[in-house]
Amino acid sequence: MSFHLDQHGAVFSTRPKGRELRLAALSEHDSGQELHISFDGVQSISYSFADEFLGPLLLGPDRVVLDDVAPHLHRIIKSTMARRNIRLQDSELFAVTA
Amino acid sequence: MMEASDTLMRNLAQWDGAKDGWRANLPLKHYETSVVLDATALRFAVPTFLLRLRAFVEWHLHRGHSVTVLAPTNQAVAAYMAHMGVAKGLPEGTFVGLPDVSNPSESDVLIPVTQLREFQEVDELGERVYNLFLAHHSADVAAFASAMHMAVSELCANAVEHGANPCGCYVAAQRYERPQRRTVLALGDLGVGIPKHMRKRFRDLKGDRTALREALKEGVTATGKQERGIGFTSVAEEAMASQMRYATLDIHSGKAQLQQVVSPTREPAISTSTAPNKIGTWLTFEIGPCA
Repeated sequence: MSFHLDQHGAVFSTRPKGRELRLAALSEHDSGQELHISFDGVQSISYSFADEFLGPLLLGPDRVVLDDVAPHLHRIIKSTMARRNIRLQDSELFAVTA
Repeated sequence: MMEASDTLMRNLAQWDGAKDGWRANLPLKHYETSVVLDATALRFAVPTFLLRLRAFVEWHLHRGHSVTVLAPTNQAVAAYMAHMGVAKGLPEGTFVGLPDVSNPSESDVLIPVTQLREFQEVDELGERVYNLFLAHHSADVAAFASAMHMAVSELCANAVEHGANPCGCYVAAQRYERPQRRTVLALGDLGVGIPKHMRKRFRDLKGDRTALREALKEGVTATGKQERGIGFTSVAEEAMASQMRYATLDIHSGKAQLQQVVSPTREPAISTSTAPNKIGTWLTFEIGPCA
């Protein structure tokens, strides 16, 4: 399945919003399958949102693949991963670069 | 009587901008259930001061006091206050002598004085700010859409979460053309303040200056959660990623003030000094111009 962030907005700011959308993504996710998250149409995210939305997902049991992440958001996501000590190659995480 | 109000007023009267050196000194009259603040002699104002003024008014209104603020006789300052929406939403007659502003879009106001209480409001403001900056006709504003979105997101969310108080937090932003092109975001709350908040977890912190320095370090958080404590560093990091020539973050809280300067050409610099005690936390983030 693919969770489309742009169905919830284009600019994301807070941890509570990150938590809300993470739970929404998980509620639609079949355990044991890859979780695809589409960033198509997403314009800006804060570090706190990224950490709260992606951090626990990336530390979870299922592989997470981020689709269509705009280049300027790569830096924020990679910085979030570094802070969480998550080591993934770009090719493992980012499916398609917009 | 209004003991806390006295403290608040001393705070207001002793406001000393870290960079502009400007001080406010407004006469105040207390009555049993009302206050009159005389701002007629005001010749200059900055966004952070307007937030403090608004917080002062709402603090009194929250306690059932009536408040009257006599607006500056200086027409430019009065018009600036009106453009910044300092009286918007308050009971009629709270500000006496402010002009009507027919076309706020002609001013340099980017975010008028806005009160936030919930995270959802921070999310909404974040989106509004990003789109507003991105579409702005000035390249010195548009270039900083991401940096300002980050600042609004991280700093406002901090204020809503850690500065919790009945009045919420206040935010405003404007651009300046002189003496150099820059954008200023001001933020404030009447919460416990950073030093007291930090000491909830780090009891050995000595002095408010040290507390502010510690709060700025990545991973240092009073929440007890390992992944937290990234707000201030995130703001600096995103500013560095923009095309800015410099960015500064000024924090006034407790008996200290701190200034952080980041620029592409030198190492980030942090300086602190002692300052008159201030209730809550008051921040000014400034960025620009385009490199």
